[in-house]
Amino acid sequence: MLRVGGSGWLLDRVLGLSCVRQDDAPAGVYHYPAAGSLLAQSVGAEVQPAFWASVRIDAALVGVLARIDEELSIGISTDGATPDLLRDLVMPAEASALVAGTRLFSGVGATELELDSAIGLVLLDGVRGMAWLDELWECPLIVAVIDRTQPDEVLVDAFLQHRATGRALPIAQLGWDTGDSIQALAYEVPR
Amino acid sequence: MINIRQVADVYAAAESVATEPGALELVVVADDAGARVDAAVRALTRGTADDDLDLWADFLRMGTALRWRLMTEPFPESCCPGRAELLLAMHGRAQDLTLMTDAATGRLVNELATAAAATIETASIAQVLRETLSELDPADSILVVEGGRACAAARTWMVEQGLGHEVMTSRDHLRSPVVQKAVCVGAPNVFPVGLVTAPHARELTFVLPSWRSNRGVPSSHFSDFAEGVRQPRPKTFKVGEQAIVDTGPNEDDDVRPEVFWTPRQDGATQGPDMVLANKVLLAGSLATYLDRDGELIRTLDPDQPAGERVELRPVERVAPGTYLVLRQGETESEALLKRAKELLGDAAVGVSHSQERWKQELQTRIEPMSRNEVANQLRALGVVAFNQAPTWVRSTVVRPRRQADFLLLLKWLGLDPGVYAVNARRLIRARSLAVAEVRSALEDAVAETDISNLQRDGYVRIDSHNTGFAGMVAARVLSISPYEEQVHHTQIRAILEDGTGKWLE
Repeated sequence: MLRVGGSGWLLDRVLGLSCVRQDDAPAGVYHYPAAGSLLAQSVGAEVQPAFWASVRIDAALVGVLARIDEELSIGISTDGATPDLLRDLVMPAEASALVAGTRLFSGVGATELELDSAIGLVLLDGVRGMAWLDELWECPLIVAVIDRTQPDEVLVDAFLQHRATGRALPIAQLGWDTGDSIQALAYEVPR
Repeated sequence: MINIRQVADVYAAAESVATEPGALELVVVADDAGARVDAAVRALTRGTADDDLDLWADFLRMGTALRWRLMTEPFPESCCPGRAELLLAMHGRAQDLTLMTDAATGRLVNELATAAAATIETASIAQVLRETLSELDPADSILVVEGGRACAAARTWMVEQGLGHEVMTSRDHLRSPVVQKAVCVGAPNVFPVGLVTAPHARELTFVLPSWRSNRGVPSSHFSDFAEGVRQPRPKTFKVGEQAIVDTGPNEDDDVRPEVFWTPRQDGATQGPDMVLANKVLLAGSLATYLDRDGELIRTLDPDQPAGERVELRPVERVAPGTYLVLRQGETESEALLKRAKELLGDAAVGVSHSQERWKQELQTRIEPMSRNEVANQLRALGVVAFNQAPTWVRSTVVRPRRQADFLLLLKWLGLDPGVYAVNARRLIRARSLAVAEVRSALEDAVAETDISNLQRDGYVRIDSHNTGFAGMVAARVLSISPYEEQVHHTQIRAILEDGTGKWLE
């Protein structure tokens, strides 16, 4: 028997355990979201409970928070299949979330990003995210999304200078298919 | 609300413009009056190249402004706000200049003044625009112009012509749903790059004057290196008898209104209160000076959602088009540092002492050395911002922006990195809180200020009674001098009255 607060749980029925770090987190039952096609594809149905219990913050997303919040409500799927909400894939570390995988940073409000070592991926969303590129010396993987509608050429030039310090990687080598009309550039910087 | 369909439409439009035959057209219209102004501006620029530029700068600025307007607002003078004022100012200035110069240069001045006056009658481009638009369905095609003044002129003209198509600035167009066709007034590269690379129309037609020799389709520098780029190939049509365009040897073909900056050698005395800075011309007949010391400056982005419009950005990222938020009274850095120390409470004394100590050590170390010697030694240690060492002694600079640079600097000074780095970090955290407080107050102030005309006017006074600041202005950067000059430190980031940018707006 596993005792948590005032309740008891049969140990052989427990599929996973997760430590919630919020001191003021409310006790209660957390229902993990129903898996859409993408989640089901990447995490098998039989291991879903264990997956949700093992989620930890290992990614960061930097941009305009109001825009990111809107975008997290988008449902995506492979053709015609059950969609996943982006929010369920990103798992943002919001005040109400017991399970979180991604820390969100305002590219506007922050004066520095405090990233702990567990964060292995930083996604820079648009110009406001891109502005942080030079500060992320320790992060192993960075994905920057640039909106071609509003390119900031000063930032683009800074990005290209950053790239010049590294080694170009063909997109195909990463296994990416960028699709029609999407421009992409990849490089590796020695650490 | 995100409309994912609109995003998909933009990708489809980009595909159409890049690959569909005839989806990108240039209509080049013979424009004799504009060509004469263009030639006169070029001749006067060449003819006065060896003279005192200060004498000619404002007349040349008016000439380049008129040339720009003839391309971006090719409508009758009666429709164009400020055109009559510009022509009158050119006429007056030309009369003054001809009295001050030799006969040959006087002829160049007179030619530009005469060419300018002759533009009142020009209407060839407007006629082509009218014919083009009258063949298009107003429900699915629009007229796109560059800038708020051109938009006002186009709307007046459209009403006069009885045309019902919507008129938009390129900025507004790029935030609107995709349409079938956009007719754009001017050459492709007078518009933002996104107009072609992320089009919001499945077909684009640019109507431009024949004297505009640079007809290239712009692209982002990113596209020069990226994979998946499809470069659109425009189809060009010529309307009317067109002379061969001669831009002169090695002449820059950018026809945007220019400032004609000159290096300042005013012999100002160097001293502790003098700093090197670049002059920045702002809309609203304002100006300021920015020093490139690595500190951040507050900017406003009116396109962002409320609550996320005000940001701090490095000075090197300030460019024409950026809106600077400037305050009267003490500089923001000083105010933030003061507030950060208040937030530290009792710990402030120890932190301040630690800051003073390493800055004093740095000052003592670099004082007998030249700037180059300092830079070379720090570069050899691996310090990335090796050029900025002299600015790190300022009390408002908590530490070099890179923590790694700071640790190397402390090692160079022979100081224990542990204590100083920890104290600097504490001060930075407290300053972050102070920044957040100010930002929040500013966001509230911006939310209460009517910024709807910011794009048209270029500046707005922010209602700052709740921010604790005496007065604040958000103003668009028009031009940045490429030359540094010595100015008193109180002029840095100060709001200054300056009418030099009048014809650039």
